Amino acid sequence: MSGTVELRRFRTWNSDAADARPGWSILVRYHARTLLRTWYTATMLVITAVFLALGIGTAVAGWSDPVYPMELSSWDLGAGVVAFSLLPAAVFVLLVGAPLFAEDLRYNAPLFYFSRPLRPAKYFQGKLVFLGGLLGAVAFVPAVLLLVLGLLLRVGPQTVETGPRALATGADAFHALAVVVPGILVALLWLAAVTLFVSAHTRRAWHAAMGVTVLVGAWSLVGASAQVLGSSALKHLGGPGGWINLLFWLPLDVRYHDRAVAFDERRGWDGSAVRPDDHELFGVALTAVYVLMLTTSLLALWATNRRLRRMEAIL
Amino acid sequence: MVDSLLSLRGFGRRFPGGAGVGPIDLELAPGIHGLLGPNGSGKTTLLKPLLGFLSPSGGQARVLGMDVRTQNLAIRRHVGYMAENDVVVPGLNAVQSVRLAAELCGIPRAHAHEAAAEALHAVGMGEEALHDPARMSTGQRQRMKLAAALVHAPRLLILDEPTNGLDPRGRRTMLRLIQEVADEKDVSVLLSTHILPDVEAVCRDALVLRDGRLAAVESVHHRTVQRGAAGTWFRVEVLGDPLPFAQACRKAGWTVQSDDGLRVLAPGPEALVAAARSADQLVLQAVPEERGVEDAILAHMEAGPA
Repeated sequence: MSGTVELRRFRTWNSDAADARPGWSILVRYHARTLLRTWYTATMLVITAVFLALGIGTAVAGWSDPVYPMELSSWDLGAGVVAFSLLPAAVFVLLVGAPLFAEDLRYNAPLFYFSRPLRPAKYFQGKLVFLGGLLGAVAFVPAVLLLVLGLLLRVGPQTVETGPRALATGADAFHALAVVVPGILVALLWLAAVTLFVSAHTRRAWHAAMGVTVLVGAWSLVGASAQVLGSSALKHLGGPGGWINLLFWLPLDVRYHDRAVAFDERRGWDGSAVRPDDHELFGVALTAVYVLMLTTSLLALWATNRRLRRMEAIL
Repeated sequence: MVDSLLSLRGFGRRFPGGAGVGPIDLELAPGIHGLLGPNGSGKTTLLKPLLGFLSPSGGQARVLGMDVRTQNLAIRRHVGYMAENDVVVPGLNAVQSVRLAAELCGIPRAHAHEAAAEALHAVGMGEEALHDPARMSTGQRQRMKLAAALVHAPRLLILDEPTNGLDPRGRRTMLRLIQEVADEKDVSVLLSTHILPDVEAVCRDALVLRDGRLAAVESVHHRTVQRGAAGTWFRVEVLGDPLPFAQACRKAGWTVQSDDGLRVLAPGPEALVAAARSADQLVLQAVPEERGVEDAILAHMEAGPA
């Protein structure tokens, strides 16, 4: 620092609180801009866009092939859509979500934010909306698009079935929409909440990324263990109904049920016998899974918000 | 222009175990004030509740006429705070950081860039403002923090150890910058530091904190010793043995130094005479010390428990 400092008289910015944009929306905009300006996240966005376009394009081409149209049940479609949506979600959660709080903590940025008229809750809201918007753009919207296109264009069993079997396959399509869409939302919310929670408890982005990986891995491991070790009765209660499948991050891979019931199949994909009450249990188990994941997500969000409120006091 | 910059009434923040700051009574008019004290004296702990980072444990405080308990967001809108530690927003260069600060403080988006450019220009940052802050020198990062603190034209600038980590030339430049920014922008400054010459260089007066209490308010410009919370230093001469008199003074709770003559930090000459009388002594003379502000402040900082 040397030399003469030239000064100009400042104007006075009459900043009226009423004219100011909400602090959280300013944060969202800055994060979005940084996402586009940073070379590796921008590159990943391009790669994801290509992946999504190719995925959707290939699927649509397969479904609408006039000579050999691809046969596809709603559940196959649902499982595909979930896998399709979770891959980019996982990439961006690790690449962009994990550093959201961790990097701020590393560089003392909360002090920058909280010494301005920005409450910790709004700071948290800004990060959450940004991550939610990002996951929505790279995972949810493409998945719903794929699902809707699939339901419209596919050649499925419902085109040839009549009577009770047609009713069952009609319900199949309804389930695909009613279950897949909320299922993806719940899974993405869980992923975002857990990521923000871990990120708020470390000062290194890669620690946060590892933490998220471990948590998702542990969640899947619980599901795997439950499936392997569970008794037959428990399997029926939790496994086919979606519980274990959701733990496996295959939340909607429940074709085994409805197909079994509708088409008189005797065995599910895991080899277990199908019982008449499976269909009933499906709804109970899936609801339980949704409640469990939503509860976990809300707890994680609450704990993160609490951590940020406390952070204001220890700056 | 507000009449009162800072108004504290029995204000303090105490932590479990007794550490903390206060209670403090203080009235500050607009101007440049130094908040001075050794490390651990409670300077930053006093600043935090003023900005709403911590809730006060007692008393009342108003910053620019606004209550710190109920109006801390409004206070932050009108106060610029430069933190002691490095503060960097990941992924943003200096221009973008200062612009973000402007927007968060309520400057419309259309004007934020202009405001950031003016603030950075005012603190003497040029092209380096486009660099990654991680690659900046300490001095450049301090300037960036100062620009972010004053981008929204605050009425009060709170600077926490702004010369930390700067070399002598950088320190001098930063102090001149503070002085000039305060003059140019007509902004009041509360400069928190443990470096006495920094306070002497730019401040009108110094608030001396010791063990979490306000030990004195010393005028810097007039270089006269004002009456602080603990009293005034007197060079005292008594008739006969000074020991009983010194004991009487200590019994009264005053600070006594006898290494270079007898010096007593007492409320006033009448009190000294009374203390001498209680020890059957006679005060020959009690001369208030006319010392440099550095000596006076040091005396307050080094005195016994407040």
